[in-house]
Amino acid sequence: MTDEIIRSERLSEQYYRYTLENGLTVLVYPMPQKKGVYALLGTKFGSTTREFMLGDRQVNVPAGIAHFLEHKLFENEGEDAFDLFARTGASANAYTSFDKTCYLFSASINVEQSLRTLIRFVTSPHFTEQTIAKEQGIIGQEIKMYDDSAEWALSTMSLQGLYKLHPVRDDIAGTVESIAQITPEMLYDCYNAFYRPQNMVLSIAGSVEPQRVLEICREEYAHVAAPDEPVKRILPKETQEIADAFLERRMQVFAPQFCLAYKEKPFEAGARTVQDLGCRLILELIAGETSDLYRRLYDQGLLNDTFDASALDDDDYLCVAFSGESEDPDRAAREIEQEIERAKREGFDPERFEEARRALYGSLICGLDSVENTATKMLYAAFKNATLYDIIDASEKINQAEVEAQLRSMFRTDRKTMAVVRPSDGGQE
Amino acid sequence: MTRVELKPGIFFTAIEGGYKKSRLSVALITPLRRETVTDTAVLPYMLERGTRSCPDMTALKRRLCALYGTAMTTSYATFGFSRIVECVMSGADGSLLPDGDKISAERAALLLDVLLDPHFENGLFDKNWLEIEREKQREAINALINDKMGYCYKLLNEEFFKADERALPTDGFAQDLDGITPERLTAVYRELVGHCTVEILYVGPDAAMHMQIAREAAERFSLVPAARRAVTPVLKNDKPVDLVVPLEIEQDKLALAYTTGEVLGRREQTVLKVACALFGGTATSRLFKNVREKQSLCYSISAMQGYESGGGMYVGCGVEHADVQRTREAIGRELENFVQDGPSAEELEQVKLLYRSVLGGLYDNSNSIAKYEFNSILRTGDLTDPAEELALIESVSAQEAAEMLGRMRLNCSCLLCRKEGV
Repeated sequence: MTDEIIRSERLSEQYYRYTLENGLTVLVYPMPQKKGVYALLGTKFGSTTREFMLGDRQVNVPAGIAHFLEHKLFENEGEDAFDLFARTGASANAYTSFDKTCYLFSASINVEQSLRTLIRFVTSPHFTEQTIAKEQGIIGQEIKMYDDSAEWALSTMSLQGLYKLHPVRDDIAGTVESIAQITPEMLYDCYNAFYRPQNMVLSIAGSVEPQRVLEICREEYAHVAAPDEPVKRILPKETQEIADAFLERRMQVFAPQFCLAYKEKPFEAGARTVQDLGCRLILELIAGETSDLYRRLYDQGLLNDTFDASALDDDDYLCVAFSGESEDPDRAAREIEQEIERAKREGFDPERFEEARRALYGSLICGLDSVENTATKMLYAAFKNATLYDIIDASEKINQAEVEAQLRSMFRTDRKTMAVVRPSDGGQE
Repeated sequence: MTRVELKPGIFFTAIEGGYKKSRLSVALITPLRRETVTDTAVLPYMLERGTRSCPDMTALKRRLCALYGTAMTTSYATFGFSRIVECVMSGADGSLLPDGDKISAERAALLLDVLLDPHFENGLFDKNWLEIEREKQREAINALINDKMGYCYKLLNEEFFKADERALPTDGFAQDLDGITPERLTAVYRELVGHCTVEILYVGPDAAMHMQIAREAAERFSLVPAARRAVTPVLKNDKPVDLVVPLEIEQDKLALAYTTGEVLGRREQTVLKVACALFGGTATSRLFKNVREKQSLCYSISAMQGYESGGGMYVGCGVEHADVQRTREAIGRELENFVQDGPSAEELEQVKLLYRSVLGGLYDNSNSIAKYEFNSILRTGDLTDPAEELALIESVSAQEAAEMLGRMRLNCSCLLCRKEGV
C-alpha cells in the first residue's frame, strides 16, 4: 500500500490518498467541524466506452449500457441497495455521465455501516434476464422523461453535430431500442473490465477518521479480485471535422432555444488543470454576466437568464458551448462569434481579467465548505490525475498572456455547430 | 443559533459555525395580493439592474466579481398568503481572503444597497430597463411550459387553491406586464420596503460582526410591520376535479392534490411529514417500491407534504400514455393499503433513521440550514431546533401515520397528456 498526504499551505488543510494493494484509490478528507459525511465510489466507465478489449477478446456494447449497469448494481441477489441503506439512515444515489459512474451516500449516523454497504453492493453484481427486463421498463420511462426536455435535446443535438463517430454523440441513457439489446453477459463483461479496484476511486469527506476508512476498505475489498487481464478502450478514429453544421427540431416549447458548440482539441495531459482553468476564464470573460456581450444581448432581448457558457471534456474530447433561449438564435450566435473574434484580436481588459480570476478563486474556496462538493471534486480530480488543490493553486498563478494564447487556439469556425429547438406550435416565432 | 427583533418587524437570525462560506440574506415579506403579484415578480430583476453606487447591471456584477466571486441572487417567492422578495449574497468567508473583514462588510453594504438604494432616474425606476425586464418576465411566464412536470404542478395548484390568493401564479400574469410603468413599480417598491416584515439571516463563522451589520441595516429601514395572514384549509371536494391538458410530449405527467380539509397543528404536521415520506418520499417508500420497482410503471414518482394548504399532500409522476389509468389505480390502491394496514415497524424505523441522519447533518451546509430555518420562520414565525423536530418525528406511531393519510381526500388532479397523432 502507498499513502500520501496532500496538503494546501494556503488553506492550512490536507487530505489523504491511499492506494491499496489491489489498486483501489482511497481519498479521505477529514472535516472535523462537520457532523456528516459524503462518500462516492466511482469508476472511470461512462457512456462513451462502447468498445473494448478484455484480454484478447473484443467486446462491443450498445448505447446506454453504463447507465443500465448503474441501475442494476443497485439490485443484488434478493435485496436492493436502497433497502440496505434504509437500515443505516443514509441517503443513497448514483449517476452516470459520459466518462464515469458514481455511487454515493450522505449520512450523519451509522457512517461505517453505510460505507460497508456502499462497497458491498458495488462489488456484488447480480444480473439476470428477468431483472434486466424489469429495468428496461423503468429506464424506458427515464429516457422518455428526458425526451420532453428541450435542454437535453439541444445538448444531444449539438454533440451529434460535432462528432461523427465518438460515442459522446449518443445519449447517456441510450435509447429504448439500444437498451433492449442488453444481456447479462454484456453487463458482466463491462463489470469485469471496469469495476476492478484498479479502475476505481473511493472518495469520502466529512466527519471521518482516515485510518478507520482504510481498515473498512481493506476488509470489504478482501474478497474482491484484482484481475490483471488487460483492458483497453477502443475509440473510433474521430477527426477534427464536424458531422453537421446545423441541426434543428421542433418541440412543445414557447420560445426557440439554441446551442452554439465548438469542437476543440482535448486538454493536454500535462497541462490539463491550467487549460481547464483557462477555458473557464475565457467563457466568463467572453460571455459571463460581467461581459459586454451578455449585457448587450440581454438588453437587445436576444438572451435571458437561461443563457450559459460551458465546457464538456474528457481525455479524448472537449466541447465548448453557448446555449439558451432566444427569439433570434441566428443573430445571438452571430454576435457571440463576433465577440470571440474581437477577443482573439484585442485580448482581454486586464482589470476584468483580474476580477474574473479572483471570482474563480473565491468560488473554488467556497466549494470546500461543503462535504458533498469536496468529496466529489476530490474524486473528479483523481480521475484526471490531479489533486483538489491544483486548480486553486493554478487560479492564483494563471496569467493573462497564457489564457489569451489558449483563446487564439480555440473556436475555429469550421469546427462549430448550431443546434436549435423551435416551438412546434403557438410559440412566439 | 440566535434570533432577535432589532426593531418592530425587523428580525435578525444568526447561525454560527465553522464555515468557510458566509451567507447573508435579507427577505422582505408582505401579504400576497392579486394587484401586485406581477409587480413583485418584476421587481427583483429591476433591483439587480443597479444601485446608486453601481449604476448598472454590469458594474454591479463586476463589483461582485471583485469581491472574490460573491454570488448574489435576487428572487421572488410565495408561501401561503405571503409574498417574499429576497436578496442573498454568499462567498468565501473573509478570514480566507486578503482584507477579509473589509470584504464581509462591503458585501453586506452592497446587499442593502441592492434592496434599499436602487438606481433611479428622476426618482423612478429606469424606463428602458423596465421595458426589458417586463419582456424577460413575459418570456419566463411563457416558458413555464418547458418544464413539463413543473407546469403540471402549476396547473394543479391553480385548481387546488382556486378559492383564494394561493392560486396566484408565482411568476405573475403576462397580461399585467404592460401596465407596469416606472411610476407604478416605484410605488409598489416603496410600499413594499415601507410595509413588510424584514428577515435578516446570516450563516457563517462570525455572528458578532454580522449582528453589528444587521443593527446598522435595521436603521436603514423605516417601516410599519405587515401582519401575516394565517393559513386556511383547502376544503374537501365532493367530487375531485380532473384537469386534462393535451400537449406534444413523449411522456404523460400526472399530479394529484389531496387535502385533510383542516389546518393541522405542529404535531399533526410532523405526523404528515412522516406519513408522506413513508408513502412516497424515499427510495424505499410504498410508491417507489410498488409502483415503480414492482410494476415498472414510472421512473419518477413521489409524494410530498403540502404545508401551504394547512394539511395536504401532492403525488406526481411521469408515465406512459397507455398506463395512466393503471398508474392512477395503483396509486389509489397503495393509499388504501397504507391507510388500512399502516406502515410496518421496520418501514417506520427506517424513515426515522433517515431523518436522524439528515437532520443530524443539517448544519454542515450553510444553504441547507438557512433554507430550513427560513421555511420555519415562514411557517411558524419562529426558528425550529432540528433536535426538537427530530424528537417529534421519533414520537410518531404507525397508527398515527396511517390515520393521517386516512384523512386525505383527493381534491383535484392534472394530467398533461400526449396529443393524439403525435
